Amino acid sequence: MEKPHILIVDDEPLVLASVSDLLEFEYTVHQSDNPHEALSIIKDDRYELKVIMSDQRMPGMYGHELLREAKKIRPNTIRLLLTGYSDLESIMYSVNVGEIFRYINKPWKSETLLNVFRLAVKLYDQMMALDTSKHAKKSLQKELPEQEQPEEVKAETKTVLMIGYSDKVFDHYHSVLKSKYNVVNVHTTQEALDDLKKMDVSVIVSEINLGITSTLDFLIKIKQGFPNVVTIMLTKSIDANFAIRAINDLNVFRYLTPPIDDDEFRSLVDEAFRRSDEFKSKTRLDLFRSHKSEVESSNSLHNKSSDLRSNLKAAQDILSKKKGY
Amino acid sequence: MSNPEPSDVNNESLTQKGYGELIVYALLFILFITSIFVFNINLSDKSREHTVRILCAQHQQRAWQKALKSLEQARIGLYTGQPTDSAFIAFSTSMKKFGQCTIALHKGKLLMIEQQELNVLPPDDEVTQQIIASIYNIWLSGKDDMNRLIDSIGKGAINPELVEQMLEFAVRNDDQILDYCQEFMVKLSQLSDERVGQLQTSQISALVLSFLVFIAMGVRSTISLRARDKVIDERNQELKKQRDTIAKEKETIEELLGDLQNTQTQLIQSEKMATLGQMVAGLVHEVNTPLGFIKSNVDILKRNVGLFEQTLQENRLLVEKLADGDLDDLEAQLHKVQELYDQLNSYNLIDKTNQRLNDSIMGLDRLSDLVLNLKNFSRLDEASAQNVNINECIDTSLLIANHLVKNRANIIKDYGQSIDAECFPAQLNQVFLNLITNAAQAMPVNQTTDGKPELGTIAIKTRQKDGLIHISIEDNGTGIDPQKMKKIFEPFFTTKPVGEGTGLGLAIVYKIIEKHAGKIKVKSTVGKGTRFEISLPMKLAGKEKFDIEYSDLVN
Repeated sequence: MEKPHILIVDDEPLVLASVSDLLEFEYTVHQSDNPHEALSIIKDDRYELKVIMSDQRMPGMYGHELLREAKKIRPNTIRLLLTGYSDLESIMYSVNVGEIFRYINKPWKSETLLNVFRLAVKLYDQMMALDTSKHAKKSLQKELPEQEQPEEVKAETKTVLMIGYSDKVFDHYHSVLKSKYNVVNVHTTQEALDDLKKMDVSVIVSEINLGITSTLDFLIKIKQGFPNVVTIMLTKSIDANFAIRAINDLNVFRYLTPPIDDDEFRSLVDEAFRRSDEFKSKTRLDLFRSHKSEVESSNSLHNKSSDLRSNLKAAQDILSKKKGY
Repeated sequence: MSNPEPSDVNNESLTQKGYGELIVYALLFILFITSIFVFNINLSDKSREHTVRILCAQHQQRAWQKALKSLEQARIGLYTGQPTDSAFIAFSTSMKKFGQCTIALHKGKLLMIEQQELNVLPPDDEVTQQIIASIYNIWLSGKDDMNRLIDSIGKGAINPELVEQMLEFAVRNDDQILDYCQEFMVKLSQLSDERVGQLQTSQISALVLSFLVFIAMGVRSTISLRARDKVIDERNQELKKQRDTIAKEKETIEELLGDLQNTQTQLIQSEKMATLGQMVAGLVHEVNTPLGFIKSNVDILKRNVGLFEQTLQENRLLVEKLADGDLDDLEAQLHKVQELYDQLNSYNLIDKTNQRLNDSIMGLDRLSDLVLNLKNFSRLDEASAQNVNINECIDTSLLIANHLVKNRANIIKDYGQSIDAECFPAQLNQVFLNLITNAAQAMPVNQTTDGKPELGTIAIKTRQKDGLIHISIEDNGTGIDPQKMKKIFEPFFTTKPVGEGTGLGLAIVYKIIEKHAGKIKVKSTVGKGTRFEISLPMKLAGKEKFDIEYSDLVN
């Protein structure tokens, strides 16, 4: 079986060489030290690129710009960012523009990188499976054009849960969204949990500061319990580490700071609903519940011997495959 | 602070009022004095009239007596035959005189008495008027006879009968006339006495009144002065209040000044921190990248070494089997080893392992260079002026600024020979870092269409000439607005968004160059770029050799 194709982009050749060496046992690694060249690789449809990992700061183009372009060309390819800077601006860009799956800091841990790639490939395969079934659906619908938009009809049942906003702020967002969605405001995590159990919530828009409990931890737990919920952070508190956690552990859809344009906000919520619908349509795969623990274990990495063992095992697997061949 | 104007106005009106009162008192005083004078003049006029009357009355009396005597003499002369002419003439003269005096006293007339012209006025009180009227009436009753006699005397044809008649009239009325005259004069002197009394009374009362006015004036002045004192007191209190307010304000201003100084110190500190932060941010990237691949390489090496170990072990087993002559498993073992070799070869693992080792060594070299540069940049261990190669300083700063510069600009270096200067290298590094960073930030954000990024250019040139080091740092960035050019070295002037620049960067640059007895100039064209030119003396004068403290970098 052919190894999955991946692309790594970094202006530092030594990084490329190292990452490539690390991954080449499991993947066919394409690499480029120039984002423009990388774009031509992305456009090349001879390979099915499953994962792209880019550096953020490169001459000529930012990583998040490259990933945005990549999304246009290959929407299902999983995007990762590997960066030596953890300045807030790049983080916000990476989530809001690049829509990345993971934000990985330099210096990286080999095990983390391997795990993230495995997970990313798994996610990609699931997305593609979904996509092909969708295509099938679509072709069916083409034959029946009258029923093309059944989702719009049941618009009333779509629920947005807003957590931690003052009544005044909520009233504003409510007026923006009420024409299409059922918007609910809660002030505490307990209320949020109650509503999640009662209602079919698809999108959460959350503030960060909700009193004593760490909102992020709460949202991550929610994500595990309700994997189809898509989360948008809309908060003035911006913190680099927090944002990185929101991306990597919560898979936050957008990380926004007010003020935000009403139309933009509405269209973002629309997009979040589409994303949630995608998740719902593949309930058999409990993606986020499982990969969370994988990443966590890779993050902890206390026993290096096990890393080594797994590395060896990976190598041995390859050997045994060859042998079997 | 209270407004002093109202009290001024108040005071002015008070003063005006005071002066007004003073004028009233002065007028009153003058009025009294004048009235006394008028009264006195009036009285003395009357006294003179009196005196004239008395004089006239005496003449009248004397004229009467003389007339009577002359008439008696003339009668005796008539009878005795003695000459009577002189007696008759004396009689008529005296009698005329008497008549004039009587008319004058009764009706008022201008009289010549003893060659003196006297204006006799009729008396102004009833008693004397009656007395003089009585005399006048007596005189009037005998007037016709008298005139006839006098006429006859004038003609020289004297009628003795007429003389007798006249004499009889005179003798008959003599007592009465003399009595009246006496009484008239007594009455006049009584009146004079009264007048003197009146004069005294009036003078005394005027004195008393003046005194009263004076007292009133004194009292009023005292009151005015008291009021004035009160106003002054109030004013003093107000002044004191104002002084207190001023003192308080001074305190506040001093506090503010203290705050300002603190803020300035904080700002200088924050500029230091900003520079440091910039450095750290750059360094973090510069460190993270080699650190990242070194770590990764070590993991790869470990993995590969594991594979090598495995290959080696299988090889040893092969050799053992060969040595033991265990030919049964030999072929299988040979395959195993072959497989492993294929594996190593297919990934080119031995070469790659060497490459990764070399990469790691390169990365480590980069890291140690960085640390060395950082040490050079901060020069924490050097407190006094050093003789330093400026080119090296610039290189150090370039390395620190690398993360910012590399995506934006190419560096073109044109270094001169023997560019050594006595300086505080850590501070000059700050200058260079600031100018290089600014130059990089002045580059427009590069939008490229092809694979090659459009980078700006930063040209750095150093030369030594006439004992001066000339350094020029030129960029082809956006340039500086001519209106802003004047301000760029001013503290707190910044073109960067709030929170990004402290506005102290170039101010500190300026001060550092100034402290090095150097000069800094800037030329800029909007759209074309900016050039900073620095000239530094190669040797510092004595006073500059002491360490420059940051605290006096901003005044």
